[in-house]
Amino acid sequence: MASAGSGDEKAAAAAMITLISSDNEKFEVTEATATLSQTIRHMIEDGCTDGGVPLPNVTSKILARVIEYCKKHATAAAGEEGSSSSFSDAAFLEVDRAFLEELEEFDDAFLEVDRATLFDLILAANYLDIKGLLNLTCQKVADSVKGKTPEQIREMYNIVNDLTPEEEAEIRRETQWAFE
Amino acid sequence: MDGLWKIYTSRASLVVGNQDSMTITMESTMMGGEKRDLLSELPDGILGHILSFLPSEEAGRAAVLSRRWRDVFAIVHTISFEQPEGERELTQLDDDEFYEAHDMTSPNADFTHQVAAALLSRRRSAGRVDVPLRRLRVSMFRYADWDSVMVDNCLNYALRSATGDEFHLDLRLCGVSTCRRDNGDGYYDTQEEEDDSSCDEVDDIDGTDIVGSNGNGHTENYNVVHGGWGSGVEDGMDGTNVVGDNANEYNDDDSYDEDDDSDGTDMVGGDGNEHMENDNIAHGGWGWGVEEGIDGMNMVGGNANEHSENESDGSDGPDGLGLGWGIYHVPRIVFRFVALRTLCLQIFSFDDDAHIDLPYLSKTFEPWTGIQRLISGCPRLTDLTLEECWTIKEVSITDVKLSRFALRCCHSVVRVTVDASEIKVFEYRGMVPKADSQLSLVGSHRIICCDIDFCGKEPCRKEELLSLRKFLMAFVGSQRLHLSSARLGCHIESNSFSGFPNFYNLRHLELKGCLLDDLIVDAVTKVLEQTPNLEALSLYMSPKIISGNGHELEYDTNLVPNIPNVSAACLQYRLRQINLVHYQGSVAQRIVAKWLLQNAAVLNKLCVVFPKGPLYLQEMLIMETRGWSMNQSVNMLFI
Repeated sequence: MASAGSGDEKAAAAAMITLISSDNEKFEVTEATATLSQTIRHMIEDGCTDGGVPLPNVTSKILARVIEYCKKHATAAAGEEGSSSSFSDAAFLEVDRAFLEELEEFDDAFLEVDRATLFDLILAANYLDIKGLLNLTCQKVADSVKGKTPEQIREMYNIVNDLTPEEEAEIRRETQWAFE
Repeated sequence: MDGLWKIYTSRASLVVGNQDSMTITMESTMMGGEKRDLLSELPDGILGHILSFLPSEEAGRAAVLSRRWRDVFAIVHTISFEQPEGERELTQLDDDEFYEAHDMTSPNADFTHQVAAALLSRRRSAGRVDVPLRRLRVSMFRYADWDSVMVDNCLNYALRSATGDEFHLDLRLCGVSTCRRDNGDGYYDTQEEEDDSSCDEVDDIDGTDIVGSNGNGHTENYNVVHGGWGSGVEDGMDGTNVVGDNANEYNDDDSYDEDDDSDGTDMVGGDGNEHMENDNIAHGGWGWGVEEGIDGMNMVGGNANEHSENESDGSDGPDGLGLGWGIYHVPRIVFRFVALRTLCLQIFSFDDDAHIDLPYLSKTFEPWTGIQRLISGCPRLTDLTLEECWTIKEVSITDVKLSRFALRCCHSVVRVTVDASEIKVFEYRGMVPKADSQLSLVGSHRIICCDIDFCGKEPCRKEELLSLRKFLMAFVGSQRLHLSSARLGCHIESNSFSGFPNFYNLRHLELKGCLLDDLIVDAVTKVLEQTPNLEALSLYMSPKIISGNGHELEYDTNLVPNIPNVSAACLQYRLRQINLVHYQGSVAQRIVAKWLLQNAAVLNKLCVVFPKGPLYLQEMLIMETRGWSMNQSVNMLFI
């Protein structure tokens, strides 16, 4: 497609991949960024990325955020790979460490989204199989319910209790260990 | 509703998210009950993943949220339990009651049953999807021998569910570190009960005859522990004496008081006796009515003495067996668990028999063969933590490539050989290894982050300082070094210490210990001379004085600190950040601070953390510190 030749200012090694969101918006990313997603990595390995990778489950709004995350973290991943074998890993890791702090800040800021976006990000991370993003977002949800009673959680996430009192009593009996 | 939002909005980091979610909720309320339950719409796997981040009790409670959530617990991949500290209080309450109940149940029974129930509950509803268990993390407050069956069961369940290609096992059987051997900072965060003994220790260090007093005390203690194990392998210095002593004390409670008196007069005995007293208390309380400071080591020591020396003393009854400290024997199933990636074991023993063994039987088998087998049976192990595994004497970890290795308070090791070629993070707590062979890290140049904590007596004799140097040589390639010892600087200034090794790559250095006198300034300068590329230095100064008026600050206006006329390359070109934690303003501390600040040419960040104390003293210290800075643009933070 039109995107194929536009990576010319990059080195040949940094092959570009085009991602196509559900609403048909095209995003061009480097291979390093894209392969943070295991799903895309497999597609690249199978050689079926010519003409762009359609991602029918991800909207452009969410895909933009996911790419933002991947770009940031791809640099970090590159750092790790480079340092694992090179002799001068000393200096490298130091840079890396400062970078990791920055990365944490980035992640914190990245998570400041509304709940619907957060869930969309979780779904996208799951679909694209981006482990770091999935952990980050799921952790955020887990933190939000931590220490809350079931009633509080229901209220917080609008969960409708469709259990009959008998069923609820039964579950409480079955999982008594959790209510001690 | 308001209350809930308050809870929710109190988290500063979530501010933006909150406002948004608030609008969502407001909208949905306005829409009249048409609320969308986005969370429950997520696929099973994700819900399981989310619940895996929670303590398992909370994850289990999610089952009552709605029908959707009923079986979600079956797909969590992490089971994580931590026994609350409060449960111990319960067991302490009432010794009498406990005596009556002790042969029926363990005080930990509720907890172990809970873990087992959770694991079963996970398996019960796992019919529809079989998600392999990835991680089991259990932290017990205080394990007792009779919990072993339940722990075995839990491990069995867990390992059977761990059908994936990776598994992380983190079993801690004692919530607090049980190692009695404080280093100088030990008493900083312990209870009042311990203050007496710890202050004595400091006095000892202060005193002139360091080798005599403190040294002996600790050696004695060491041997008590050793004797307790019935292994009697070590140097046998005064081990027999001490064990005998201890037994006497045990038989005759009166001698207990006498010891107290001897504290003041006889420094040599002082420290050792302190420990023995604890032994006795431990016996009295049957292992439960004891405060934190009394720990496994002493208990085990005591317990074994009971068996080996005083068979007649009711020790063959159930009290002797069950109430003592538990050492868990790793069951065979773990031994060939190929998928094991992370292993963290605290208070463990390894042997070939999976049934309960009493410590005094440990003569009959060779405990190290167990750990050796375990390690060779788990080829994918990358992260190994051995903490307070007192039966380990000899282990060779050469078949697996670890990336992190921690050996903490395994005081009976005689020979540990580790292929360190892939290790990046190394942690050690214990004595300075006596010989190279006691802990040899083959190819340790890759170690990047290194945390070394010398507990027990301070190395100060010539041969000890030599082994200290040799030991440190293994880590010269590291970039981060945390070095804790009773005396900050480890006697590096002493003439018998032949020079701190050159840490060329070191960027971050953290020294922790007591800054007692200006000799230590020498130590700090000597260390900094050898770390030319240091960028951040943190000094954690353990308190020396606990003054009567409740604060720990001091400031002597008449005293102008005299600083040594030396400098170090890192101060001139590299060092950008200095942290002084627990800065009390004692003379030695002020000298070090002044020297650092007046020499640090490229410093841009200084952080001083004061202990509690009157504001006016703090302000005087702040003023003084500001005045020292060579570079006025330094960003200073006083807390």
